[in-house]
Amino acid sequence: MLPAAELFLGKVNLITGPGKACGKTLFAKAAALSVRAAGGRPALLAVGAEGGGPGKVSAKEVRLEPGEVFVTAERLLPAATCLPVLLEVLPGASALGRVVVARAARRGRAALAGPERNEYLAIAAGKILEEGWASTLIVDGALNRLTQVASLGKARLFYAVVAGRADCRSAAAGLKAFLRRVELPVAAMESPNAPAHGAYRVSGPLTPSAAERIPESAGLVAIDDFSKLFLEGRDLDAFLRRHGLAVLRGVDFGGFSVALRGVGRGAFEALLGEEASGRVVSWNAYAEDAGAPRRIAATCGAAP
Amino acid sequence: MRGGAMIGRHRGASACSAAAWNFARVEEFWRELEPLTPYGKDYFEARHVHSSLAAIEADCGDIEAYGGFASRVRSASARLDKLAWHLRRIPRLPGFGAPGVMELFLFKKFLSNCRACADLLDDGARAHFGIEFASEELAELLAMGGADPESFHIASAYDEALGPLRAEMAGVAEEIAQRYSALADAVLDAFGFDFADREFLIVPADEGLAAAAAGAGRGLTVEPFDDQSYLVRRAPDAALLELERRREALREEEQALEAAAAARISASVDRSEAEFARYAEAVARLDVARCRFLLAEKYGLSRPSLGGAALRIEKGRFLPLAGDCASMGTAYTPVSVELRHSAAVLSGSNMGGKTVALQSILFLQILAQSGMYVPAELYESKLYDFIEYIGEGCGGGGSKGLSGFGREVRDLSEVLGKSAKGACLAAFDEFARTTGSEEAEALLSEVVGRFAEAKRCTALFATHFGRIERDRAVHWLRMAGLDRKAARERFQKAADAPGAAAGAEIVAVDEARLRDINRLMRYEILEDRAARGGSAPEDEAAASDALEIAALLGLDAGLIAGARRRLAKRRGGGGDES
Repeated sequence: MLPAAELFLGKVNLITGPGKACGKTLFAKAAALSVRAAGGRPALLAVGAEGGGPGKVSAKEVRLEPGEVFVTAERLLPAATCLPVLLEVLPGASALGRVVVARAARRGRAALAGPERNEYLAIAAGKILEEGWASTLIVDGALNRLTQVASLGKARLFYAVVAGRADCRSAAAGLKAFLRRVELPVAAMESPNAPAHGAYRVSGPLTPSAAERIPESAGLVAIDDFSKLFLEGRDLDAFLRRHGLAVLRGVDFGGFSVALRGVGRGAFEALLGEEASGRVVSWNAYAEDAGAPRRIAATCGAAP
Repeated sequence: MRGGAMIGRHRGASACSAAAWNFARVEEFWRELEPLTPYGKDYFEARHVHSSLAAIEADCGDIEAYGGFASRVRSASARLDKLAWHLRRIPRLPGFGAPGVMELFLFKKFLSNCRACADLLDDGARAHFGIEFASEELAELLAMGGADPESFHIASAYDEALGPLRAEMAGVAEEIAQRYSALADAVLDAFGFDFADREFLIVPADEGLAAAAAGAGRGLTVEPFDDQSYLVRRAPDAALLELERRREALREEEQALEAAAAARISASVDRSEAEFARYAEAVARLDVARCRFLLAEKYGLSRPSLGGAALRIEKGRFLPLAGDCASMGTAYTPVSVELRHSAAVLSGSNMGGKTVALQSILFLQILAQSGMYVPAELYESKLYDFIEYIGEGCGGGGSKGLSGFGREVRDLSEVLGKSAKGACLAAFDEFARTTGSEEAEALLSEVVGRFAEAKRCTALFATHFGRIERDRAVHWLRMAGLDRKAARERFQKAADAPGAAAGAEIVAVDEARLRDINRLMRYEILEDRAARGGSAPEDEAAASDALEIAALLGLDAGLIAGARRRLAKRRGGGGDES
């Protein structure tokens, strides 16, 4: 069943996940369908950790409706069938040439391609919002872009995962660990970028070696945002026994998208536990709606 | 097209050395310049300091022209905001001769914002900056690519064949959509699968098997997904495939027509290359002038006068230091000085402000020669081909021992070479401080004398050395130094305060005390009349300041007294100097 449009409308929606083939792109597409079904016109962006090595840009082909804004690269423009109208050329370049913001003049297809630098993604998203080209953005991207885009203020994060029979336990553990990170408390601030007096600020990633350098006497430790936390499992437990941990910038977490393969929903929910299960906003977005009457309306998203 | 090269008057190497730039803390001021266009950014990034009076006058003329325009439209401040808005949106021009859609988009965006800037200026400013818009025809051609002034695509209007072709494509697309919709209805009727525009569906195994059993031709492909479900996709039938093939063929025709149209439009753009170059130069000048004007307004800067015979400053403000003083809550003393000779020696005690005086003069001269207005009530100066600095921090690394002196000597040789080639302004901060005083004073005397004879040059020497030979045409100056009476009153009050111990006591040196001493320093530059006239150097006052400062900082009183006795003995007197 498609996720509810209300999850995405009016937001810069970052769809991320633990790595390649985790269902990010499919969930991003499902989100776009959902927004369209609700009458919205999403802007589509992609950033690439998948599909290439350093300096490469991943190309993801999407269907576009007339008037929808998307971000692509110079060399992908000729193949776009949606008759793209160029709106902006972004700073920097990618392996596929300069990155552009375009609007589809007709229904068709285009390959999304993302800026290679974090700050350019924020520039792209900011430009789209500032110019009023779209109010709902869907960004199919990696977690390490979070800090820059989150600064836009309208960012909402979703985490997609595919779980099969062989890895369902580790997938569930990964979701619970992610939830633990994304729900870190936000530190009280003295001023922008300055936590309240007494907090020990760690600028940069909180890795095991960085954690060792923190004085024992430090009570509350503050990091920029949860994406800077690189402690897991027992390391994190041990750290939290010694110190408190907070973030300077919280994130609006929209929820999990879970696609199951060879595992029943009930079984996976049992592995997740109640709290994490309650944060799943989409189960098998590409599954036929279970229990729906045979003859349901063909209109996208219409309630039976 | 870089802004530095775009503004044709700026050619050749910068007149200012990196050492002089850094010593004078020009970068702190430079960072306040906020150009809006790529050309303005390029220009300021070059950090060019002119040695051409014509270039400087032209820059100042631009500031004045922009200032005149700004004041004429002051009552309509939205106009200035709009001008800034359009300047900010001007992109860097791509290269010519490359017929791509992206290039055409950039040309269109450039032209539309350029025209908007021209429209917002008045006649005077438009003429001054050379931003008269004369590309209506080209602008209209590019406007066909999108009603919005900043969007572009190869619209149907560019080729009479494109319209009908795209209409045919739209018809085929509609047929395809209808065919898929019909297929979707059929799938829904037959199997209850509602794709809702999704690319595939995961369905329970029994339903998937039933769909597979229904055979081919029902518009579905079925494949296993997991042990409980199947993945079904819509499959196009023969009619759909033919429609898709036809659409693809039309698409290829469309691409060919678009490429031809882009080439024709690009040829028109290429014919306007000279116009674009003129616009780029004009917006660069406008952007640069605007930045300079805004800083002039912010800091109350005034137009310098260069090309004269002497340096004359009235109430010149060394802005970086003025800012430091403001944040520390201490008073700042502007510099006023007139230099009549090619060489000037500035003496004074430690913490007396000699270095700041050199920084101030270099700061003002560098700003003046980079086309800026300056923070001074009056600034008249020569024009220099080279602006140099020799002193601590110059060339990186420490200045201890021979390595520091070696660097100074190397730098001196370079500056002497330059002074033989052209007019040179050189600031020497405690030259030869790291070597023996006898040799240093001898060398320094000789260097001062050499520059005294270089009439096109101005050399400023800040030094604590007291035995520079003074029988040349050199301007002798000194820092006013410590207001000793006020200092003693201030610190006596502190000593007499309740709770303070009577008698001699070691007073802890702390930052507050240092700030106090700073407040008691007089930072005016004075004529060192005694130095010029007599054999007894006026640096007696400077040397005494040093001991006085040491005493005020709480150094052991016995040490101070002993040093004073030695000083008096050396000067031929006796007893304690206090």
